[in-house]
This record gives sequence, structure tokens and C-alpha cells, in this order.
Amino acid sequence: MPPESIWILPALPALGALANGLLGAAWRDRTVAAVAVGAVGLALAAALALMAEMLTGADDRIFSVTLWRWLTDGTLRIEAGLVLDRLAMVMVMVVLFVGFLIHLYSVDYMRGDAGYRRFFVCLNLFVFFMLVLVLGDNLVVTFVGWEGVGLCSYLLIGFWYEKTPASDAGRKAFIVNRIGDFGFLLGILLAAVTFGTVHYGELARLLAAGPTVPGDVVAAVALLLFMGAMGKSAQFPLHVWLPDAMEGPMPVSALIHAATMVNAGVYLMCRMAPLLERAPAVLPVIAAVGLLTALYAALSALGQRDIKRVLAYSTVSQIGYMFVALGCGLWAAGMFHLLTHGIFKGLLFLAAGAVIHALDGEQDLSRMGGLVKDLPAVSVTFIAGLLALAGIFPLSGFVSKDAILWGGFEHYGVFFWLAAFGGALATALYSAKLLSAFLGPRRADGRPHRPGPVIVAPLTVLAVFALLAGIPGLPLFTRDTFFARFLGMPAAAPATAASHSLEVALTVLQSMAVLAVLAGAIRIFARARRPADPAVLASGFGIDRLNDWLFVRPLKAVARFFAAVVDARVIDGAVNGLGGLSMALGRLTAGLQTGQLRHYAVSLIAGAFALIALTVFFAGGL
Amino acid sequence: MTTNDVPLLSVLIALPLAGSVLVLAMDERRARAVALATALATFLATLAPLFLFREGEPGFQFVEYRPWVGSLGIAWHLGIDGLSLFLLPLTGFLSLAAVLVSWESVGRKVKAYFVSFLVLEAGMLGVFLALDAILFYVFWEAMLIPMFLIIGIWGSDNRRYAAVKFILYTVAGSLFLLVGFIVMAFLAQAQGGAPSFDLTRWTALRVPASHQRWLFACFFVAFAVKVPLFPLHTWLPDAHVEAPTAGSVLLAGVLLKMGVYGILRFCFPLFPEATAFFTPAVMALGIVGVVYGALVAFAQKDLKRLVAYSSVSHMGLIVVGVFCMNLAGLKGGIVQMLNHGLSTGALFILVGALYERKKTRDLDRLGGLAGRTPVLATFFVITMLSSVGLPGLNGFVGEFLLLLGSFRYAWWLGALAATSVVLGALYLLWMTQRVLFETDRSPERSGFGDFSLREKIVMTPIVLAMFFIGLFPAGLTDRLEPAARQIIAVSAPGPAREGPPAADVHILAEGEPHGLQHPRR
Repeated sequence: MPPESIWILPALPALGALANGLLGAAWRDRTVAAVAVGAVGLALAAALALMAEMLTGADDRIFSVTLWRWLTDGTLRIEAGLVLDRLAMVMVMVVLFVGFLIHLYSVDYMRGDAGYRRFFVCLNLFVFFMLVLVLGDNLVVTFVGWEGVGLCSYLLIGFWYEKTPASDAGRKAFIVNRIGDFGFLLGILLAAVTFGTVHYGELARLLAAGPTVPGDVVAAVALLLFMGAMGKSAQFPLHVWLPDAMEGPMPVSALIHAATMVNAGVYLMCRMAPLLERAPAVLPVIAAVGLLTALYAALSALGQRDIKRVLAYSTVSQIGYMFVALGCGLWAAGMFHLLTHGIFKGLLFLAAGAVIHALDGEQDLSRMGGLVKDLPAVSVTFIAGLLALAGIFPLSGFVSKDAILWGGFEHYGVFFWLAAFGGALATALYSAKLLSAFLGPRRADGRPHRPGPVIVAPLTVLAVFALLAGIPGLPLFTRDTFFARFLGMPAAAPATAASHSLEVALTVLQSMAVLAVLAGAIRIFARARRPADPAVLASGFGIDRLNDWLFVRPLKAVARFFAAVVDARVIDGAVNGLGGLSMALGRLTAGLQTGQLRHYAVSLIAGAFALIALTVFFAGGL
Repeated sequence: MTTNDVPLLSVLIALPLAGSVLVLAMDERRARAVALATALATFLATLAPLFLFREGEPGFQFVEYRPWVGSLGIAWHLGIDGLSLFLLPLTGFLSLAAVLVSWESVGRKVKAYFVSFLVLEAGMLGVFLALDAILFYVFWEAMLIPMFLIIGIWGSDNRRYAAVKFILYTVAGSLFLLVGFIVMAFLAQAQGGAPSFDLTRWTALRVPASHQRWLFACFFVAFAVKVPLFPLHTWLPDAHVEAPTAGSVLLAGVLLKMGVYGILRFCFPLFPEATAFFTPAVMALGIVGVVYGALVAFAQKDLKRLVAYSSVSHMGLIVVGVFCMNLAGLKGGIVQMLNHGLSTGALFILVGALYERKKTRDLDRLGGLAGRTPVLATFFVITMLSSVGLPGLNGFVGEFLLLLGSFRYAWWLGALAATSVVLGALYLLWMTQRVLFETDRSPERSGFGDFSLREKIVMTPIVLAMFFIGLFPAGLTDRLEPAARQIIAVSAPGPAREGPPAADVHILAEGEPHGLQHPRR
């Protein structure tokens, strides 16, 4: 395959969306699904071909293509260009592999929905924008994809638009993301103005050339772009949209709000690694935000009853860990956790979807129990994903999270590590809570119906990968993993290198503690009477209510005040008052009610003639 | 045959006028068809300059010059540059759309209605083409009368109040403009020997510093009312609410553009020092308008009022951008004029289509239309996204350039202007949710269908243009860049004006209008 043809990757899902969108109304559901799944499948095949070429070629093999000139402003030149390097390849693989499986799963899962075609159009469109985001060779193209996936997220969260909560949730997601994008856009502008380019390659060259730009400007660009990443990747305090986003159909939660889109912030930060390395003051900020989010969301997950909301908070928390890795400068570790998380969290959502389907829409964990007897295949895959999430040795989640915890210890010391470790224990706790749905006694009447093979097959594939995906993260206890070597993004050595034996000891300690907590918690949650959910955790520490009081209500009040008082009374009042005044001056007050405007007109025209006469008179002397 | 043989620009103005005469001669049934044919022919004619325009060449093209009142220096002087190039097809297309959306909704005084629209179109095209101040003023005022009639006769319940408010506001503004024009003609006499209303001669004048500020104010007030710049905007919501759909489309799509057009055409080149002096104040009003318009839009219940206030917000951003007086800001402003015309024009078409079906524009009584009318809903969402400034669509191109221009001017100005990114999403998504999503709250739940073929024909080209501009904006910005450069060159305040003008500003020979010095190739 010629390397310039990487445009085919986004083009295929775009074609799928167009075909279904414009022509699909006349097609049967089966055809619509075949087109949508086929488009992503073909893109996956093309990506695998490119992957093979990349692996057999030279180490720095990069595919790139410039499609057209988008805009120029002076020396600033912005082009529609794509680049497929190894970093992008990792994302492309996650997006297309998980995306393909989820498309397949949706064929059955969404059957019978009135919006079947609309669903697949949006899903194809999402894959298109996600690939644009990933493949963009400059900040603006990435931003196009970035906002595009936001649009698809908005449309799919609000997929069942008749439900007001679903519509509200979609809107909330878009607006909170836009707050982040406010920062992203300013970051792009600042980069464009200071560096004179937004092209990743050019930026990296300029940054490598030496300190031509003051450090604080570089830091400002990094912080602004990070603000965008916080919105898209649901980092505290811009995480508030993600739990609500669970109003969308399950495949959407799995694909967009677990495996791909929400990780875009992590990807963006890795893309901007050359910039972040020149802004050492920003890294601790990223690490701190990541750690705070990881802890906060893990605790909040513990308080949820809705299986989807547990998973949503869990996603927020795990992405927090990815940012911890980035904050330590461990780009490969962050991307690796993105990869493993994408697989096991995608799996967890899909399996949870199968469970909810089987229970006729039941999402309440307190009404689930003993499912392993009724739904053995689904349960096994779910448990596999769950153990990976909890970080049980030697599953994928263990490998990727271990590297992050150790990085935190090395870079930010023992207290940072303790907090991150605490988050890992909280992860084990809510994992146990989720597990209790499958163990113990049955808690609902009726017999769950088992899902068909089109649903089980993707689950099985993902489960196998969730178990094995840790392999690229080997060998353990080193920065030079297979994955890091593939990426070619070596991590900088920390200022003070800790001893190797300490690292091994900590890993063993963490694994034992997680296992112990998990085992203990399962016993508690699997009992007939479970402990109640603390209200403070259930509400996510009341952040939504705080936002409501701090921002939403004042904004609405100000808007109403402007509309009802300032605009209607003050400004328009002054206008009408001016009319009244001129009328009074003209002593044309015969009919106050009826002739007001006419009199105003007469006085105005009389005044105009006077004005023009004066002008001509005075201007004659110029 | 060269373009010089056909007075293309005069034809542009004459076509709709001739059509209006023809409409008068027809019976009511044929009047529609004639109006449609005329609007279509005019639109096709407005496309011609796009293809014949010589890219990268500064100054005016297709220039026509016939002395009119020689003793006063008034002439029939028309021309196009990058600034007006794209506003012509916009006017042509939206006029065509206006005829099409009125096809069924107008029942009474059909002939008078279409005559008004065709005269309005001639006036609008004339404003963008005129290079003579008196000619400009004639078109400017001539345009008001049909619009006044359209609102006042075919409007809804409170139409008289709105029509009179509209015309008084605008006339009050334009009187100052006339005063300014007369003073400028005397200035031309003082400096050149003969009075002149020729705009291309005015740009070569040196307006004394003592006069610049108040002259600027005279011109600016007239244009600011049209923009409309906060706090001169209160005529707009009333006019929109009462106007029929087609009236709103042209009001928002074309008439508002004349404010910024006038500022760029007159205020900047004629009064550079005053422009620099007033820039902070105007920018402050623009930024206030961005935030204020968005918030007031958010609080509206009437769909048309909401879109009207969104215009206050969007146009505020354009004003901020062009006053930055850099390439990005000016290009962004000109591009965004076109984009706003497309997206807001389309929004009013959609609101009209909604109103025809549901007989209400109340956000509390709409809802759930995505299911009943999926095609309408799709067009609605795309138009909304264009207005939100979603990358890939046209709105983002203008927004990006405007913000880049603001950012180059001062980082904090860019940051303030960028709040529109969030604020726009706030009210536009709210609107979309209340109209398309949730459940139907209206009493009228049946007896309406999805988009008709006629409605699809109107909306499809607009949506295609949105995508095209969003994806391939360079074709647009390259063509208007020389105009933007020229504005910057002639608007540079200070000593630069004292010496010989910049290279692309031609010193005119006595009595010879600018533009004719370029021999046609």
C-alpha cells in the first residue's frame, strides 16, 4: 500500500456514514449495518497493512501526506495534512480494533431501535473524526477531529432524545468540552503566534533547536493545551460530563466514553511531548490533576449503584492515572495504560451492556447477583476485564498500572505514591462491588435471556486481549519495555534514581494489598445485605450541585436580568424615551397614545433638514 | 467580448428592477414565477464576477464610470474588490431563497410583495457596488423603503411598531451619514478644486485631524446601527420577530453586513487617525456585545428573538476583529460576514419552516421535531453547528481568523473574544434541544410533514456552501486578501499618510476615477 494513502483510513468510515446517511433511508437494517461495519472493517484491514509495512521498514518509518492548503496568514501556513507515526499507530489500532468489535456488537445490540440507521451514521462519523484527530499532522487538523468527536459524543449521548435527561447530558458534555476547548483554541493561537507554525514536526524542530522562545510562553501553551485535554479526558473539575454521558446507548459508552475519545487528551499530551519536555513546571501540574482525579473518581465510583456510573467514574479515575504517568514524563507508560484500559474498559462496558440487556434494562447493582449461573459466558468475560482493571497479577492492567505507580514514587516521592496506591485500593474496592453482581445469591426475579453469538464474540476477543495485552509492557521493572521501544519515546531518567530492589518490593506489596482488599471486599458485597452507599460518594462529592450554585444559576440569573431589565427597560427605555423627548420638544403632544411615532418622525425629519442646512452652511467655509 | 463591453455591474442592479416592473405587469399567478425567474437570473449574474475576478490584483475591478451630476461631482460609479466580491452572490442567493420561502406563505398583495423584494435586492446590490457616496446613499435609503413595507405590511401582529422603529433607527443613523458625505464633498473641493463624492478620490484626501473624530463619529453611528453594535441593537429583535421569514433572512443575511461593509469602506480609509483613536472604545462595545448578546439570547423564549440576539453576539466579534486592523482580523471579519449571512439566513429559513408547521416560535411549546421531521432536523443541526463554529464548517474559519487577529492584537483581547466559543454553544444547543429534542409540547401535533422538495432546494446549496467554505477556505481568503491589505495600507495612521500613499493606493489624476487606470487584459 503506498504510504501516501493513509487518507484512506478516515475516508472509509466517512464514506460509510455518507452512504448510510444519504441513501440508507431506503435500505433494510441489515444492509445499513453491513455498510457501517464493513467500512470500519476495511479501515482496520488497511491499518493492519500499514502496520506490517511500518514494522518491516526502518525504525523511523513515518507515513505522511499533505492534502491541501487550508489557510494562510502571513507566514503562518495551515495545511490539511495527515501523519501516521508509531504514536498515531497505537491510537489507530485502539480506535479501529475496539471500534470494529463495538460496531459488530451494535449490530445485534441496537436491533429494533427506531434510530438504527442514525446510530450507525453517527458511529461511523465518530470513527472518521477520531482518525482525523489521531492522524492530523498539526494542531488545527487535530482540533477539527477533536471537536468532531465531541459532536458525535453529543449526538450519541442524546441518542434517545425524547428523554430530557439524555438531551441534557449531551448538551452538558458539549458545553463542558467547549470550556476545555476554549483553552485548547487559545493554546493553538498562542502557539501559532509565538512559533509561527502549528505543525507538530515543525514545532518539535523549533523546540529542539534551542531556547528561542521564553520558557513561560512555552509553559503557557502547554497549560492551555492541557486545559483542552482536561475537558476531553474528563479530568477534575471538568469531569462532570462523563458520568452523565452514560445516558447514551451502551456501545457508545464503550467506544467513545471508555476506549477512544476520552483518551484523546492523553494522546494530545504525548503528541506535544517535545513541548512539555521544555516546560518542566507544567509536568507537576499534570501529575497533580491526574492524581486528584484518580483518587476522587475512584472514591466516587464506590458510591454508585448504577453499574454504568461505576464504570464511568472508573474511567475518569483510570485516565487520571494516565495523566500521572505523563506528569512523570513517562509517555510510553501513559500510552500503554491507554491501550490496556481501552481494551479492558471497552470489554467491561460491552459485557455490562449484555447484562443489562439480559435483565431487561436493569442497571441497579443492588438488584443484580449470581449472574455467573445465568450468564456464564458474559460473566467470565466481565470478570476477566474486572481483574485486569483491579490490577491483578499478571493481567494487562497490572502491568500498565505498576509502571505508573513506580513512576510516581520515583518522581514525586513517597506521599505521592501513597495517594496513588490508595486510589488503586479504592479501585479494588469498587471492582469487588461490581463482582458481587456475578457472585452470591440471585437478587431479581425472572430468568435473564442469554445474548446471541454476535454479542458474545466481541466480548470473547476483548477478554483474551485483556488478559494478554500486558505482554508489550514487559519486561517488568524497566523503562525499556517492548512498547516503549516500539513507540520510540524514551522516558527521561528521574533526578534521583531509587533502587531496583525497592521497586520489586513495592510491586509485591501493592499486589498483595490489592488482592487482600479485593478478596475481603467481595465477602462484604456478596452478602445478602450490602453496606449502604455513602451519600457524599454517590453524588461525586456534590460537585454537580456546587457547579449549579456557583455557575449555572448565577449565569441564568444574569441572562434573565440582562434580557428583562437591561435590554427591555434600560436600553430600549432610553430609545423610547429619546423619542418621547423629541416629541415633547416639538410640542406635538396632541395624541399621546396614537400619534407618538408619527410625531417622532415629523420632528426627526424637521431636525434632519435643520442639521443638513447647518452642515452645508458651515462646511462651505472649509 | 471583454467584460468592458457589457456593463456587468449595472446589469446586476438593473435585472431585479426590470423584473419588478415585469411583475407589476403580470397577474398574481404569474407574478411568483416571474419573481423567481428574475431572482434566479440575478443570482446567476452575481456569480459571474466570482469567475472573472482577477485574483491577487489590488484595487477595483469591473469599474463603470458615468458622470451624473457633474457640477457636484456625483457619478454613476461602480466597482468590485475582494471586500464586496463574495457579498454579491450572498445577496443574490439569499434573495432567491427569500422568493422561494415566500412561495406559499404569502397570500395577500402578492405582486406588491415580490416587487418589494426585487427592489430591495437592487438596493442591496447597489450598496455593495457603489463607489460614489451619493449613489451609495441613494441605494442605502432606497433599500429601507421596501424593507419597511415588508415588515409593516406582511409582518405579524405588532408589525407597525417594529417597522417604524426599524426605519427611524436607521434613518436617524443615516442622516449623520449624509452630513458626513456633504462635509467630505466640501473637503474634496477644498483640496482638489472641485466637489466630489467619488469614494476613490476621498481615500486620497487628507482629512484634517480636527475633523476626523467627529466625521468618523457621523459615519460610524450610521453603520453601527446597522451592524448592530451594542447598545444600538434594540431595533433588531423587534424587526425580526415581526418580519416575515423572507424579510428576516435578508435582514440578518445581508442588511446587517452593510454596517461592517460601511465601516471598512468608509471609516477606515477616510479617517485613520480617528479610527485608531476610537478603536479601544469600539472594541469594548464589541466585546460587551459578544457576551451580552449571547446571554440575552440564552434568556429568550421566542426563537426569532434568540437568533436576533445571536446576531448581536456574532457581529460584535466581527467588529472586534476588523478593528484589530491586521490581516487575520480583517480577513476573518470579511469571511465571517459571509458566513454569518449563510448561517443566520439559514436559521431564519428553518425557523420560518418550523413556524409554518407548528404555528409557534415559543421554545416552551416546541420540541420533539427530530422524530417527526428528520430532514428538517438534520438541516437544523448542521446550520446550528455552522453558527457554533464547529471546525470543518464555515463558521470556524471566520472565528479562527477573528480570534487569531484579536490574539495578535493583544492576547487578552483574544481570550475575551474566545469566550464566544463557550457562550455560543450555550444558547444554540439549548435552542436545538428545545426545538428538536425532548417531546412535542405544542398543541399542533399533526397535519405537517417533513421538508418539501422546495425547502430542500433552498437549504441544500447553503449547507454545501457551509462545508465548502469550512474545508477549502483558502480559495476565499486568497481572493479577499488584497482588499484586506489595501484597507490596512490606507488606514495606517500617522506619518505614513503624510508622505506618498502606499504602493497600491493610486494617486488619481484630476477627474479620473480610480480603477480605470488598469487596462483590461
